[in-house]
Amino acid sequence: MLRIAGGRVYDPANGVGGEVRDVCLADGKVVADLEPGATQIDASGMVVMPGGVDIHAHIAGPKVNAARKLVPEQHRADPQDRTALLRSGTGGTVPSSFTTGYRYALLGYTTVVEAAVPPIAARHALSELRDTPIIDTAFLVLMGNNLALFDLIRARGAGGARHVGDAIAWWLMATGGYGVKLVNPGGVELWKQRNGNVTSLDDEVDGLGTTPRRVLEAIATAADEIGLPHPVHVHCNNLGTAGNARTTLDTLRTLDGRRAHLAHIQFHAYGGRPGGPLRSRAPEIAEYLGAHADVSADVGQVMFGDATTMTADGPVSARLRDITGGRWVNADVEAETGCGIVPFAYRSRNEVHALQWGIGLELFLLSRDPWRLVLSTDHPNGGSFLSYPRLIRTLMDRDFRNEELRRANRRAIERTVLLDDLDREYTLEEIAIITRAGPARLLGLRDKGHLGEGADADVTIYDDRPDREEMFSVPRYVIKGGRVVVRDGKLREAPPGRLLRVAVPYDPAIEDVLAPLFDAHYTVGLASYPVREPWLLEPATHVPARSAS
Amino acid sequence: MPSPEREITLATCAGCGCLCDDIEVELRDGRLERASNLCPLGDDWLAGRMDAAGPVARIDGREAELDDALDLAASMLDQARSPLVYGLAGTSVEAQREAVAVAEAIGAVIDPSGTARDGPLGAGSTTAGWSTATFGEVRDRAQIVVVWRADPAVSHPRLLERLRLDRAARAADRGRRTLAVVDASPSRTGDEADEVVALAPSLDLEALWAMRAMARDLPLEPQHTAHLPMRSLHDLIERLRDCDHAAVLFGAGLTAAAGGSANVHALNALVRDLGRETHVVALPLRSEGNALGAEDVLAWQTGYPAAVSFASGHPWSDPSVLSAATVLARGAADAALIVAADALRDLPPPAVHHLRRLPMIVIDARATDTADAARVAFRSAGAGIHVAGTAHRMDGVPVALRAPLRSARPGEEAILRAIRDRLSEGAPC
Repeated sequence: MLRIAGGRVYDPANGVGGEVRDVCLADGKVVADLEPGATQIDASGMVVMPGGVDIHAHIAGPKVNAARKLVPEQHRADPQDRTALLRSGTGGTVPSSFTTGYRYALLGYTTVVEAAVPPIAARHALSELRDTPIIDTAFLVLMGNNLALFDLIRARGAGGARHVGDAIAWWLMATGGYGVKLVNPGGVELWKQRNGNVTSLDDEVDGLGTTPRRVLEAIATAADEIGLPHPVHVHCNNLGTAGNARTTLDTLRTLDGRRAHLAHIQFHAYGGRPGGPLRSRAPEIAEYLGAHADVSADVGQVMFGDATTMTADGPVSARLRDITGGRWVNADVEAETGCGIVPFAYRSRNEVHALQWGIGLELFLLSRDPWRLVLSTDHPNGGSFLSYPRLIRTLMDRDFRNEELRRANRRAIERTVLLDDLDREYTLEEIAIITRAGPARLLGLRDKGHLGEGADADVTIYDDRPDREEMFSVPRYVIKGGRVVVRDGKLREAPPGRLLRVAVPYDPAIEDVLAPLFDAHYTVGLASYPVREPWLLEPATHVPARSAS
Repeated sequence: MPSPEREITLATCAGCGCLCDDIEVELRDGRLERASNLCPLGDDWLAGRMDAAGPVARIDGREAELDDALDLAASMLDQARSPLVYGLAGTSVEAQREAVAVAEAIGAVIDPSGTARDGPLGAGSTTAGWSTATFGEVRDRAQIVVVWRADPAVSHPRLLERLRLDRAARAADRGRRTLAVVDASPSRTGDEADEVVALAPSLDLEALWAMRAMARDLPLEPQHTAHLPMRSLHDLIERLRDCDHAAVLFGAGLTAAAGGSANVHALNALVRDLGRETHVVALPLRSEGNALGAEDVLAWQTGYPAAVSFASGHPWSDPSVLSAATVLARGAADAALIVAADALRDLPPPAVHHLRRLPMIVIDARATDTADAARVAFRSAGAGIHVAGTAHRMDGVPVALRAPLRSARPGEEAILRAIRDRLSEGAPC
């Protein structure tokens, strides 16, 4: 039992915007009140928020692990000692698993979503998440280049459409996943075939009788129909290319009428002509998002400094490889997806990087609805999660932002609207929305991201400092599941987190439909594929799909 | 009389890096009657780990109480100033995690046996990177497959068939796929192949580098390449550049030799060069069932896949001085914990020479020479036979290890955990 007394509480989901009040915790949950005499934290003068929720990051699985192997120099530069409480590890942009959990917790985050796991590799991701302490975690399974699903989508007609929904549900239950991720649908398949790609939603994916548009429609519809708590999560085609805002808007129009979440939308908000210099179409994208309540996005802000790009979007990595001339990993995953990894650094004097940074800020500052355009850096693609406090300061502190603008490549900034009296400063309430309440709501996590009765007892308490980067870098207290895991900037406890997985029913007859498709496309047996090992899947919180509409 | 209980259950063979998950085990009254789909390596794997008679624990070769053996093992590790943990590729991810926790608790060097057996196959190249793919990609897309310095027909008996690269499958594909072998002398795989390029192992680096030049249309001086089979190599490069998708399978022959890391780098760099025109992937053939799993566990828990020292309290890696072979050869270890590896057979002579003089703890589901030479030996239940778990196939796919048979013995994970619990500084979690 714990009473957090007298802090300024920001709980936007429950309409609380800075009022001084107590937050009471018992048995891992927020409760209405406690008896006098309960342990108390004196939070007077401090800012109290729900624990942070990261809706899109890369922290576990074969792609992340391959990246770890690629950058030993980053680990050597950032060793973490073992203590009586903590396992040792290494940091950098792709920290080792224990260090990942510890550092997210130290930052005040209590829930993190791994955005892209090949379902065939679920066991690997689950093993890593098991070794990622403190934070609750979930993962999205990659389905946008899944050959068996392509077969089912192509064969729609009698029974075909329902098969897609059952298949998606089957995949989620077979892996312990939380939601569906589509990355460059159709494009990754062409990359694996012959270094190809798609450039428009109507490109035929050779030999598979489908197009990106059909894949988007079929899977988004199915995800909605089976009532997934988080809608289909889409990394659009043409990431990073000049003029790709057109593809993004085309994708959004294709998804119209269904719920959808667009990943790291900054990388998809570019104007200009293909092959030509980048321009910004952030204002248009922000406006579209504002006008369409069914759609959400995370920004995917680029932060100056080191990054490691890691994506299922193989062709993107090949381009980055050619730009940097440096290290590159490609790993194709049969029947499902692939990945590319290229270490990278964003420089404020570089025209392209500065424009990407500027476009991200445009999106934040022009955003009409912070509930539906939430914070991310697509860690570690745009920058490490450790850069979130600096980003928060950039959003809240106009003077600081203007200084950064002055230092960044001038020509790039002039191609944005940032110099046009974009004075907006995010309030603490808005920060609470884009880093906690919004992501939790978009994810359909009803017990996260807020401090109402029944919520999980995940709370972050900050000293109210004028330097917001300092403030958000070192929370005073972090409470996870009712336990004080961080006090005065140090880890005091390191309990394991829980897996958050969706519970969605499916017709078991789908396995008869999938059996010949597995024979055709996979080299593991259907019988071996589903994860059943309890040590990988538990402890878990099951989040039910709402009953089918 | 009730008829004996007959049961057919699926198992995963961990006899090599193929991790075939379609093994059918037929049981009668809980005892193994027959196992189908096993290749000869799989037969050996199973036979060597079947629940034999004999004690779970031995001290100095004599049967001992399990608790006494665990206590002694823990005290040996506590007292050691520079312990080495070695092996791991023959057990599950779950046991590997436990081994890393033990190594961290005692400040040990930990190095998986995959490097000793296969060379730095798992190391990829941290300069060039690497391009790889899972089996299904090679099976269904590769138009040309080059097997470089490996004989999978012998080392991974079911692989060619699983990749549809055996002669019959290629014939059924109407010659759309080509299997080429680069090796020094005739091999079983060479016999299966469409073509063989004869190349001595000492020429691997030069040949790969010459191929890089050819792939990039860079000129080569004839006097520098006269000793190489240039026409064959050039022909191969041209066909690789012309096709849409190609794969290279490579083995310990390329990488376990002296200069193995240079060879790995050259191969990965060539794959990258070819990658500008052709989709090319390279797949290292691992000899042990879970060599990649050990590297993966180390990488996610420490940041490094091999040759990790916890001596200073945080992970530090330097394969040139911290591999098991070099640590032992330098006489820099004073105790060894060997898990699921026959270290006295795996390691090179200078390392073995020192290892024999060290107090050893061995945990293995097999009877091995190394176990016989140990101060404390545990004969464990077998991962994938008596104990369920996870292993990482050599192409990266994580596969479930099932437990078709029962054993009263503890598994490797349980034994390691029991040792860790007895250490004076057991790890935090």
